[in-house]
Amino acid sequence: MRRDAEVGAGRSRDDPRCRRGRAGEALACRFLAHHGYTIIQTNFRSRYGEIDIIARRGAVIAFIEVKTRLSRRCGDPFEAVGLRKQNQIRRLAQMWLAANQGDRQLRACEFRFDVISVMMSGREDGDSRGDEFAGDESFAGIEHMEDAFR
Amino acid sequence: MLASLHSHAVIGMEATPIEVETDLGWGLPAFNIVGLPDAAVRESKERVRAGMANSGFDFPLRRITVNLAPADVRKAGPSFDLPIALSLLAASEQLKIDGAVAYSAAGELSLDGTVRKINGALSITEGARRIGHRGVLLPAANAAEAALVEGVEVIPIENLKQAVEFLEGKLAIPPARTDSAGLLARSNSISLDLADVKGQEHARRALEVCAAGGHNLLMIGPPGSGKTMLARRLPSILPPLEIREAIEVTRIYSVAGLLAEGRPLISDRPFRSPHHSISHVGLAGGGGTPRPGEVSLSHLGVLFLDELPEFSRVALETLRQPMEDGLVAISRALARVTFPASFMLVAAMNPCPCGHLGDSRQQCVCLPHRVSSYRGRVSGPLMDRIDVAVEVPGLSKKDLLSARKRESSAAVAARVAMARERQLKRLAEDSGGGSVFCNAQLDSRQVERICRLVPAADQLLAGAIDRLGLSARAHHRILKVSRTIADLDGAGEIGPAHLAEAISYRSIDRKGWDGL
Repeated sequence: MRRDAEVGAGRSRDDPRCRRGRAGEALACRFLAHHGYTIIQTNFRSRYGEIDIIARRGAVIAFIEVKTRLSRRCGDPFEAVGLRKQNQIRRLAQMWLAANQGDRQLRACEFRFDVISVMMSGREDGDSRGDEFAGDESFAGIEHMEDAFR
Repeated sequence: MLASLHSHAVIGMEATPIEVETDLGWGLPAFNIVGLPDAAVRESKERVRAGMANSGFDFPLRRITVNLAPADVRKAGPSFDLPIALSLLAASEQLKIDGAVAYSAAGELSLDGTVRKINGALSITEGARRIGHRGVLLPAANAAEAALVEGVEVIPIENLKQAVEFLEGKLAIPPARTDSAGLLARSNSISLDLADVKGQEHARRALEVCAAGGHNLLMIGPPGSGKTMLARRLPSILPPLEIREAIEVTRIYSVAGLLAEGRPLISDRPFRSPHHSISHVGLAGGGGTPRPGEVSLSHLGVLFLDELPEFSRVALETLRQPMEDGLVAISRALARVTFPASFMLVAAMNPCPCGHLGDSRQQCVCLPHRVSSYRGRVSGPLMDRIDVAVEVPGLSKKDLLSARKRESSAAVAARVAMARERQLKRLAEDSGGGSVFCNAQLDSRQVERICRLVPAADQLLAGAIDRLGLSARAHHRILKVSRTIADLDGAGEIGPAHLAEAISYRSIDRKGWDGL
């Protein structure tokens, strides 16, 4: 499980993939805020991994996984949230609920699991090799899948 | 946040009432079904979710628990989709009903919310009537068959939305009606006629006797002599099904899921001819959740086993108990059920592996031990249960080329119907009818009372018992067959001629085997 914890897979925080991921999450937060969500917490972390964003709108609390991609060469970002990842997020959501048991407001809430895909337009061939290209990336599109899994 | 609805689980032929309870709890969204569901019931989650969404309902973002009570009865099949969806809608207040629901429901959901056909709708409707429900919501495709049950409303449902509107009282759906007498009268789609069979007077007579009394028949003869042809024409001389019988047969076909679209009532006597590669489970019924086998599908009709010795020994031996009791009891780890299996066995076989033993025109090439091992495949106990065994010899040139028109099925059927009528009348006087429809179904006590012999016949029987070494069962069976022959004759008591004919049909019994 080491892979998803902290920065993961022995990558440094300055790895371009990590930087890109953080940039995507920041974009997703802005997107959510624009659509009426209140961000409760970002990067809720435990030894089992992390939930990228926990946001609330009305009586619904959404646990959101953000996937950022440069190209669809390795498949759609949504596809990347497989069963293992889903189970991990479910487990983390349970931990988060347990940690926030005291919050009376939560008793009236419904919960949902969402996935947000952020597409960055990098180089057309999708090469994501080195730092020198990281600066070229710009926002290309964002998609929010509500109730992506249960 | 809690709702419940009635449904039924079909186990064997009977429907058990099931309560479908749904609770919407707080927590991460989840959908669990408890109460011993099988794979098809567990998969109903996906159908219910899609069916609800595509019918314009919200699938609640809650911790959903569906309980199928009582929890110790195993639930099988997709017929719980509709009640699960309805109770889920009631729990999430998308279906508003005040008070208890007087209707139970059963049906499979398709992803677009339409309700699909299920098996066992007739049993479910009977179950609903038994526990006193006002009516039952069933797939429209099953409504005609279910409406054969009187005293309970059958509401035909096309889709989930319609079911909701009906239960909320916003939509009136008239209960389905089926004109069972009309359906029964429209039957007789029989095209095969006995007039097509050339020669074989002896075998035709035996066929008539068997049809008149419901006796078991074995035909032995070389290939191509007309055994199969004769057997296939048996339904054309059998009396038509009574309405009570037709509903009984339909119930079995409903459970087995074999009712054809547009034919809600089985109006013709079943004629089943399974291939000899059939397994004993296929013949007797069985499976994880037991389903009826060929013996039950030929209930009140004919089970035709062509090439009898080619059937597996295990399969043939499973016939013994249903042939005696008229029903088959199946015990499995998950369920113990009883299916009706009161059938006429008609079997055909060759006298030896090459088929020409005793044939006047062609030499048999089989070695004696091959012949005896071939015949040994049909066990003594099974032979003992066959009332009438006849030879069907190869046709002579004269018979073959003769253009003479033979007696038609209609003429034979008329005699058979007369004989059956006498039997029913006598049975009504004897024990007030009951579940016995013909001589073959008489129990030993009834045989003593009904099959009276004139004194001369008594002596003849005593001699036959010695000479043929008859078992107690064979003795009773001979009496029943002679009773039928007397009925065909219109005689009140069984005379020596009737008895002699019945005994002659036993001549291939054991000792007689070698006589061929």
